[in-house]
Amino acid sequence: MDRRKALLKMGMSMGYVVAAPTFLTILQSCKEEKVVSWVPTFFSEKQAVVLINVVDAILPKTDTPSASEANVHVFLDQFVNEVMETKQQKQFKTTIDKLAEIALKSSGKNEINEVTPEDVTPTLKAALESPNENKELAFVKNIRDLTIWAYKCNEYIGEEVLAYLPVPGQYVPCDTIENLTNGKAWSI
Amino acid sequence: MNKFYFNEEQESYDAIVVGTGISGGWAAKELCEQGLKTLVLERGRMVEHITDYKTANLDTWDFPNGGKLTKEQKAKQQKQIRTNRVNNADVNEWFVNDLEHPYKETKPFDWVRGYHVGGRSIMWGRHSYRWSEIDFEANKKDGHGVDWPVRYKDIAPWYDKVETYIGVSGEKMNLPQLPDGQFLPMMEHNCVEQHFRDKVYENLDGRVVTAGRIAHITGDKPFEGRTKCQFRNRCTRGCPFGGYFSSNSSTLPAAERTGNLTLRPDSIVSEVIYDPNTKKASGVKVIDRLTKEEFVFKAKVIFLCASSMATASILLQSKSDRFPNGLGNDSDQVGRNVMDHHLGTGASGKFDGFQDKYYKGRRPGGIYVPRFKNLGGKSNSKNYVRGFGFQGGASRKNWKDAIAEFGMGAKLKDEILKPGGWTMGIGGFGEILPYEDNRMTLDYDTLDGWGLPTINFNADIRDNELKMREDIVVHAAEMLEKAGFKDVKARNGSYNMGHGIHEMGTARMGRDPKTSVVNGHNQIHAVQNVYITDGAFMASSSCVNPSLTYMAFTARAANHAAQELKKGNI
Repeated sequence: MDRRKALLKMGMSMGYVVAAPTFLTILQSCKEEKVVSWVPTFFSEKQAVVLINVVDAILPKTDTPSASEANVHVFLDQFVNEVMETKQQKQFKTTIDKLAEIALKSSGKNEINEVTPEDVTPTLKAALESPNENKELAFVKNIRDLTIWAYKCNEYIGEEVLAYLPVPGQYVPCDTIENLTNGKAWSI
Repeated sequence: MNKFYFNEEQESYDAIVVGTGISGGWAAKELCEQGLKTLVLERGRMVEHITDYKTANLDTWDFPNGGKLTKEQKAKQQKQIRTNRVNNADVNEWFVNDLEHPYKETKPFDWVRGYHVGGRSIMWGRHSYRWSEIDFEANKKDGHGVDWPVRYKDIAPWYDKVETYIGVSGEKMNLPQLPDGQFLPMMEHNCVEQHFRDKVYENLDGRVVTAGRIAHITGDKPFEGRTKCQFRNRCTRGCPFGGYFSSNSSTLPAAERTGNLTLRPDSIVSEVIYDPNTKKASGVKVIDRLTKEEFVFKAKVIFLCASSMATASILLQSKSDRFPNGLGNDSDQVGRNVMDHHLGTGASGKFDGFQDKYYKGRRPGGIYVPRFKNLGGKSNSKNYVRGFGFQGGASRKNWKDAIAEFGMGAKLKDEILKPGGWTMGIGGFGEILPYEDNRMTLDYDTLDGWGLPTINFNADIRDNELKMREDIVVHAAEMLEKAGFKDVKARNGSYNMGHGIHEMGTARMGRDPKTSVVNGHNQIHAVQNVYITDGAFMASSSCVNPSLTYMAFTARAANHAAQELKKGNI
């Protein structure tokens, strides 16, 4: 699995992995390949695989890291567990299960590990664009919003991707975006 | 363990100050600078300036869960959490545990408390506005509450003194309803706020928009032990630069420098002791927060600065043969006339212009729209008395539009990494009238962990406030629309008393001992060596943030007390 090897490499080099060492472990896959994973605390491992695909469908890799490269899935697993109320926790899990079911059916794949972000994308899009016709997937909107928020809460995104200035020291009320941040949003 | 900071314990003191918040800090500074040996008591823990601001330099990603509270943390603050002021890990440690500090609500009351040295001067909103003659005359003119025995000219020099010491950034506007003060350079408007200001002035008969007047150091004037605001906007965590005014950064160190200050944290004052022979207070009863030992501390003069509700609670607990209903409560006004500022009304909108413009620095304030209603002529309302102001600002933090447009995927990601569209919001701060049956009482059936009675709140807003809120919403939307904003959404949300965190009025000032608790110098009418200078003394609420007025009255009262002591009058 090249993507996951790349992820491991990138994670190591960029320091994402260090952010949550307790969740990390190296697991043996059925094909005897080494893949990086983490032990989710709230989601089952299968749900966690779906979650990774979901967050990467929402924020895919471009010239900036994907959501899972920014550890959004790890963040959300802890967040759902510690912060969310029971009702929302259930909605989150049910939605992930439903997305898995649809993705397997539509892609014709047998194993959840084979599912890719592309397999969940059409369902996510439909749920976001036509919420009334996809009521059982209503929580997808919350997952999308949480994914964006979690992405912006990541240290690498906050310090390296966005414009970061912990102690501005001055206030400039009005200048061009180009001059101030070269087109980026302030991270904090 | 020695609990006494800065000086050893002594037999008795010239002065005792109860509380270390914005009023207690000023009482301590002024009394100490007048040469009085002063014991300052704080019910909560010690907080050292700078070193105890644990979250001051943390970024979002340094907090678990991005700073959101866990379910377990939230369970300890079910009441305060309703205000949304305590709900993030960066500031949460400053707010008390509701389970350890319970209270009852015959009607809902959001009581947001900070029990530690510095009190809520660490987490305050820092907006600092003078009252005007219009405010001091209001009770007399429209018949609500009792007349203030003080007018603007009496307090103006003390506003000067306080502003000069704390540092207030602001802009002189020459308005009768919002007098100018001793200002440091204002924090400027960003381009959308400037546009709003210009258009509101142009399209709404010269209505004024200015910068929020906030207690931050700008410009080059030096302040002892403090440096300029660094535009981090992390004020509520405690500022290691001393960029804004707090007891911890300013008044308590000033008091300490005199050599006259003794500070004892962990000291819960339960009663003021009345001596029937001298007809004065002789000291206070104190319970140690941690050991629960009880003490008495004696002094010639006592300043109650415990915060409005706590001060009233201490008075009501201070029962004696002379004062069976609580110290100074001959009028039965202690605990009544609970006031606050009502919030939750306003409007927001989007702005299409200035798409290439941005700002640098996290400015800790915004714009202010001074009161423009009931100032005579066309401004008068038939439906309500008094007035309101607006606070607000414009920013580019909104990524909801990107979501609406792109939904998900690569384009969405690009968009959320850019500044969002401009949005501007303004929120009303409205005056609440003094109603005698808006009151807090003591509940002796529910004792706290120190065996003391707890508070029950029974207060709400009435017809005058509700009608004002309807008008606030109309004006908020109108201003944004007339300034060319789009998708303007007006809001008339819910409001519980206390949500403004400007609770006041429970030991009101007045001329007549039959209808008020303290006189024009903040002395209890019948016990003149007890001064009440926190929000409890307020006889009306105005619509502006009250802390500057508490500070001015406290400084005035402390200097009065020092003189009266020297003259042998108290």
